[in-house]
Amino acid sequence: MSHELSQALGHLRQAAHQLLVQTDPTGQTLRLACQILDIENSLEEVGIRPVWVAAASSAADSTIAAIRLLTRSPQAVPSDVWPALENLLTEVGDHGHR
Amino acid sequence: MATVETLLAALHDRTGEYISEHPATSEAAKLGWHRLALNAMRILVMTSPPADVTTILKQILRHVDPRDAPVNSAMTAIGYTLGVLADTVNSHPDTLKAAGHAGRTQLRSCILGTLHHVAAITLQALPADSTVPGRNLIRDLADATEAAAYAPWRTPHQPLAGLSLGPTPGSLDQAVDRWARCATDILTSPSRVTSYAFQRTAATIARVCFAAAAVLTEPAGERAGDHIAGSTLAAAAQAWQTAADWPPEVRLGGRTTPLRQRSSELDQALAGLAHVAVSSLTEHEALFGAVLRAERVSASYQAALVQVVTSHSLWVSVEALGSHYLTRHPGTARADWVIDPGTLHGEALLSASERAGAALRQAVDHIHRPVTPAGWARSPRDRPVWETITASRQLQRRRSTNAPGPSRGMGR
Repeated sequence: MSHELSQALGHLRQAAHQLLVQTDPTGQTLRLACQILDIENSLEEVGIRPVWVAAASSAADSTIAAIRLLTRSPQAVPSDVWPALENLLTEVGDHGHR
Repeated sequence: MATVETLLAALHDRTGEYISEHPATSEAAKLGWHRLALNAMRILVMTSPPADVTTILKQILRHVDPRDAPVNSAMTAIGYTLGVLADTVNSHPDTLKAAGHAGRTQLRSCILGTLHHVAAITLQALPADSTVPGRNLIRDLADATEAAAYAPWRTPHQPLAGLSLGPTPGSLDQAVDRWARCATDILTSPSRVTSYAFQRTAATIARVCFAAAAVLTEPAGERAGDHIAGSTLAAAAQAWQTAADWPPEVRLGGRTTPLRQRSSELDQALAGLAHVAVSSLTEHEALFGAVLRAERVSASYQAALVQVVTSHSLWVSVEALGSHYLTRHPGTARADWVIDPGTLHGEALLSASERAGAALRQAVDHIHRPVTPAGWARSPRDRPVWETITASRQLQRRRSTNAPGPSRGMGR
């Protein structure tokens, strides 16, 4: 399995962490983190194993980094992951820079 | 869906009607006993019944006339009500178990009291010298259940009183039920539990708490104590969000597809509540039930995490361990995951889960619950009174003293 896919998964793990570490009484960051956890699980199920990567400056940047890497091997990514990633990118952009 | 409370109220009323009706003939008196005994036993076997009552009921099933009483008779209504009640409690064995000895005793007492009254009235229509099969058994049953007839008729407290016949398809109840079962199954399976299972379960518990907190804090100040309950739930939500935050360099691999699906379903059910005014008693009770189920899942979560940590099963990224690890372990690649050589990560995860568990228990203690008024033999049609329960609970440490078990394979 490509190292880039593993790095992408590593960036997603950082994105989830960057959201979960926030205190958000609305629960929105938690909701987004759940989406990322589900995407991670989908990727692990097709055999992608994460590698540890240094955190980007925000959850949004971590998500963008993950998507860039995943798009280099689209055939290896489950099809239901793409809509989830697009939705995530739209929403996390508001929360990743807090 | 009728709840246990309303079913017991109906049973109380129908028994009163049977006492008033009085079977007119011995022929009428012997009908309906088979259904009544069968359904009574289905409930009693869940509540530690007296052995002699069980023996008598089994004998009754063998010897009495199997025919039902007339469809519009109180005897038939009692038999069917017992049947729905049996279906209801049998579909929620966990809740029945969690109701404790007191709750099960109250339920058992209601059933035994019913059996006594019905048996006593039946005997009045069956002469002592009657050759009706089972007459002596009904007399024995009346004797064996006489003590229950003197006990005050009390319905069990929540959540047993609020149980209804299984979750409604498509409802929050169903989504919570399916998620809770799936999460518990996976968490209690050492070969199937993964870091995703831990993180996603913790995150879902947090989401349930957030949803319940939102209900209790809107509109503000409607009931005294709502704010306290809401704020403790919000604190529990944040604590479980923290528990879900595993360091990216720590994981436990594996496949947990069903949990992802059930968690997603529950997310959707919770999101659906956010778009409607959660003002009805049904939605309120559903969220309260969800919080209680989440509390039980949290117990499985903590036990599973203790097992994983004390058996040294967590994996850590070699990349995150730094170059000195690579120097001391030639042949290891940066992209590898190895058994965590330290204890700091495990201890941190355990501490977070314990804080989250304590916060959730405190929140559950403060949630408003409907309770039956003090006193007994009230009209079954009286509505319950809401009050705040503030019983304290003692935090228990859940550290396991088990010796570390065999390591899990790396290829997951």
